[in-house]
Amino acid sequence: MSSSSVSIQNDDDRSTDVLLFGEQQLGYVDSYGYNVSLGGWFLIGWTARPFKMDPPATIEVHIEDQRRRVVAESSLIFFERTDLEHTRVGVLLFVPGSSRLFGVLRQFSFTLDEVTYAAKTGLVTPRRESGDILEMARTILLGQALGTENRDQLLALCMRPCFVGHETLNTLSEAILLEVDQAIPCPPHGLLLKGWLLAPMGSIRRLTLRSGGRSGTIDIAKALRIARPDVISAVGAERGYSETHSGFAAYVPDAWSPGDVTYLEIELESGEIAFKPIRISHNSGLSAIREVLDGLKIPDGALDGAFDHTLGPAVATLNAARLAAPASFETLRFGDSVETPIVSVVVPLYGRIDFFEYQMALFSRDPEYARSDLIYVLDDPTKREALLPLANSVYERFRIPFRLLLMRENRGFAPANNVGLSVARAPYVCFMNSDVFPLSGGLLAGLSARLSQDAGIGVIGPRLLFEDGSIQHEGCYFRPLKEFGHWHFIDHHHKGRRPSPASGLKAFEVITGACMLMRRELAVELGGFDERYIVGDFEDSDLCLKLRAKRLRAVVDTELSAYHLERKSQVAPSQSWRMNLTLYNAWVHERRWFMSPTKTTPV
Amino acid sequence: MTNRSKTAAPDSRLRTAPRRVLVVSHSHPDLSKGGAEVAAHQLFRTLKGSPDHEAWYLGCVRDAGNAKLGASLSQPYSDHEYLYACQGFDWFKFANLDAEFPNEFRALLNDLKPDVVHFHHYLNVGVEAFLHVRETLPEAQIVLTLHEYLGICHHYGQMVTRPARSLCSEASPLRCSRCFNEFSPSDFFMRDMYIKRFFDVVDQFIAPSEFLAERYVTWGLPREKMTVLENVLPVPTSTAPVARTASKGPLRVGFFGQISVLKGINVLFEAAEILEEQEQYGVVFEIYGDHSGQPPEFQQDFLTRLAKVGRNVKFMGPYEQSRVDALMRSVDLVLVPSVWWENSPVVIQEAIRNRRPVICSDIGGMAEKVRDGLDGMHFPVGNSVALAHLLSQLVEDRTVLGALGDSIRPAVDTAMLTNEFKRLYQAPGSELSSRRTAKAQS
Repeated sequence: MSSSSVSIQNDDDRSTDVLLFGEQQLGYVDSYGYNVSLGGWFLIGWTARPFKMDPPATIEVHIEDQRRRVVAESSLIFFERTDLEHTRVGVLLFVPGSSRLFGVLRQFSFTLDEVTYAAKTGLVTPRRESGDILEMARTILLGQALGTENRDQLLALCMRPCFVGHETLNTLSEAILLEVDQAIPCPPHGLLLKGWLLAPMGSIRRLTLRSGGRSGTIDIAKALRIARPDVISAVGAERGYSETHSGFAAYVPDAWSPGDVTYLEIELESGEIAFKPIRISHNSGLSAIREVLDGLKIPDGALDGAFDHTLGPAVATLNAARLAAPASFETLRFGDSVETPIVSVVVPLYGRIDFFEYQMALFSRDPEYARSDLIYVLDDPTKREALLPLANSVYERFRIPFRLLLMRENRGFAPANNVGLSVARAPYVCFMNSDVFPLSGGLLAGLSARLSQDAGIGVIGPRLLFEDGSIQHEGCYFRPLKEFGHWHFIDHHHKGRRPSPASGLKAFEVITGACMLMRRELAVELGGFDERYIVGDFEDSDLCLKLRAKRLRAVVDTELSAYHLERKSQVAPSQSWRMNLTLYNAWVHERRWFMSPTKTTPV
Repeated sequence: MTNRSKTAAPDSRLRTAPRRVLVVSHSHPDLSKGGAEVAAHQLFRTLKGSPDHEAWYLGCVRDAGNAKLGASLSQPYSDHEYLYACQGFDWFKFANLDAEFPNEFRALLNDLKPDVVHFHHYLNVGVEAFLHVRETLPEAQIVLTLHEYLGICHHYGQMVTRPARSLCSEASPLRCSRCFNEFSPSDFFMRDMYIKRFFDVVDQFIAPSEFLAERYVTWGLPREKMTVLENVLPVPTSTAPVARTASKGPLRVGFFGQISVLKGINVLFEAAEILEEQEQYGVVFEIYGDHSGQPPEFQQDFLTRLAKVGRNVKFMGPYEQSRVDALMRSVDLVLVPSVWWENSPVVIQEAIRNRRPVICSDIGGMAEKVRDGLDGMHFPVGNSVALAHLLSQLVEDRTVLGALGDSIRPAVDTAMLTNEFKRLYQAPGSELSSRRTAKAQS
């Protein structure tokens, strides 16, 4: 038989070349719809009948909606239709994926044995409801569909118990009590679930999270279990449960499809299946990180597992997503800085912007600051309105030139410093906290001079003192803490003690990031402070360890001092997330520099 | 452009040229009658009237209505007086937030080229003003008269705790934070650093009392920069001889000045009540002053007490400064029952010059300016029983009062005092001023 090619004009003027078999028409789409439970589209219609109807397990389908074309994998099933001529055959496709894969269907096509078959929707082609389209598909698969492996598999899928939008735990023969309090999205497809679970031992075979065609199992054995006394007193006791650690937090890395219905499938050992819908939290960025870490008191001994399997990956994913776009900031210049400054000073501002005013007043005592490249970075958009007139007033009062970088959003200590570093131009850079006030004259000149005299020094800082003149920082050391999985935390030598007489340079494993000076090119080479540390913790240690790996020392110059009015961060019970955030940073630090995760085996 | 004085600045190195002095205060006597602005303006007028000096006055005004749009400096009084319309002041560390002020002030300094800038306060102009002077005129001498303990104490500079109002002898970040728990000890530490950074620029401090001088030296000011000199008060107009105190009739006790808790008005009320109970009718209290500037709760309390008071207390209301001598001469003694340290109360100077013995609390500047048993008598601070007893005794034995009248020290000689100030102003070209120049240029 002869074949001819015809160009079909679509609504949006793109033409599709379709090979017609003889004088057959373009196929037709009778119905289509998205089923929430299976997580995919059913496309039902007819096309020209191919020679051989044994499609592979999956076949590529081109789908066009009102705006564009997408390509997806599908299962293709042919079925006989008594209402059609013999040259035509019914087609049923199942396309797993998101409900947002396409909008209003116009046409789909697939290619089998080098021939392309297409089907177009008509004006009356309905988009069916989730339950209806599944019912139609089932009927076809049971009745008219040609018996192939594809058909058997798709039928099995369609005959499984179905999530129809509500919870069905109470239909189970076992008493399973399950609540998901929070489901925090970790873009692009991760989900961190927090809730509680009471179930008889060994009753649950599998917990699966399903969302828009994606799925992932939750390994409850590896999940973080936490105490929930409220659960026991509220519901557990009356059902005979005494389990103290009914709470859980679990991370499912790749199972969430944004915008799609998300639910849990609970399969018992007995084979029974129940469902539970999940409401997705709307938080993102730092507030999502807070939501993940809040209200979790990690039991003793569970620290490594908690972070390795659950909290670590969830928070790392959230942090990467939040910092994915490059930092956006505005630059304001006050005065003209000197042509060739020796030191760029980078000072992040957050919360207490009046520290900037105090700092500049004290800088005005020493001419070296007016000759430096001062860079203040506001990492707190809420303070922008208040800071602008203050900056203007400070400049007019003290006449010290500086640049003010206004970040569009709060990113944290490491990103803010890195933004400052990115615009610094002097050969040396000094990272300085806003609550550091120089005591010694010529602080910057002194530190940079020592550095220039010794190529083996990677980073140098002054002694830092409390208001009462006692030591706030003179070098740090690592202290494994038993109560925190023996992870290495950072302690300050001689903190709170009276300073001993100055005695030149002293080397340490770590010096504090509150005031550290280094060669700018070296700082840039190391990538500044590592932005995997969130808000502010351990990044100075990380930097010093990177230097140590390059055989460069971290030293304190005991001849030079500054005040550091280290604010006591009150960690109130409501601030448990802050504590957990410190643990997160400690985990990142620990895994990178000290102990790799211990192998855990399911209990 | 503001209308600035067109006086040419002669070469200040010539000895024969008049010494140029700019007096800076935080207000103006036309706007308020506090001790500092009155003293500052008096100094300005005195210097201006001297043949070997030229003087200007810079004061401040807080109400924005007076500001002339675009110009923060105006001259509503005379061509030697300037008024700065302040915009934005930080009362915690005395920082002037107005971004226009540094330029305006520096331009004024360049116009006037004073040899001496004498600050009678840093409120409203801000402590940074000292730095502006130093940077604009490296050879000028910067003098600061201290009026209360503002640099040391955030509680209105009175070194009295809050809320108990007990006397405080020394500031520390921890203790100050207890009085003001909205501020942390670190905040007070920074406040201290900020203020002292600018006080470092001042060449000479003047304390009206030894007591105040000691407080500031304890706080950290170098003793060698401190001089004790009284404030120059307006010269009294009345030259009539002063009557001696009456030897019979009720003892008239005068209270003059601001009516407030810290000025000890309640001690007066309590003592009056005690005398009434003891049926000691020989003492009459006359209260001259103004309570309208006080918080509403205090005013309410004051009026309530007044209503309940016996016949031995009379509230005479506010008084004109020009009438103070006549009023003081109409009483037998002056009562200064303040429950805070005081510095050098103007009312004590006024009483002395009118030969009126002063009965005062036994602390601070009061105890220093009133020699016990000679210029008057002390009673334990806040102790109304002791005060009542003391007054009772003075009624019983009128010779004591007579003797006091004789032994009162002479009033401060205004001319001599003014000369002391003039001597204090270093001659330009002196060793001290060239050291300053060298430092400023480094």
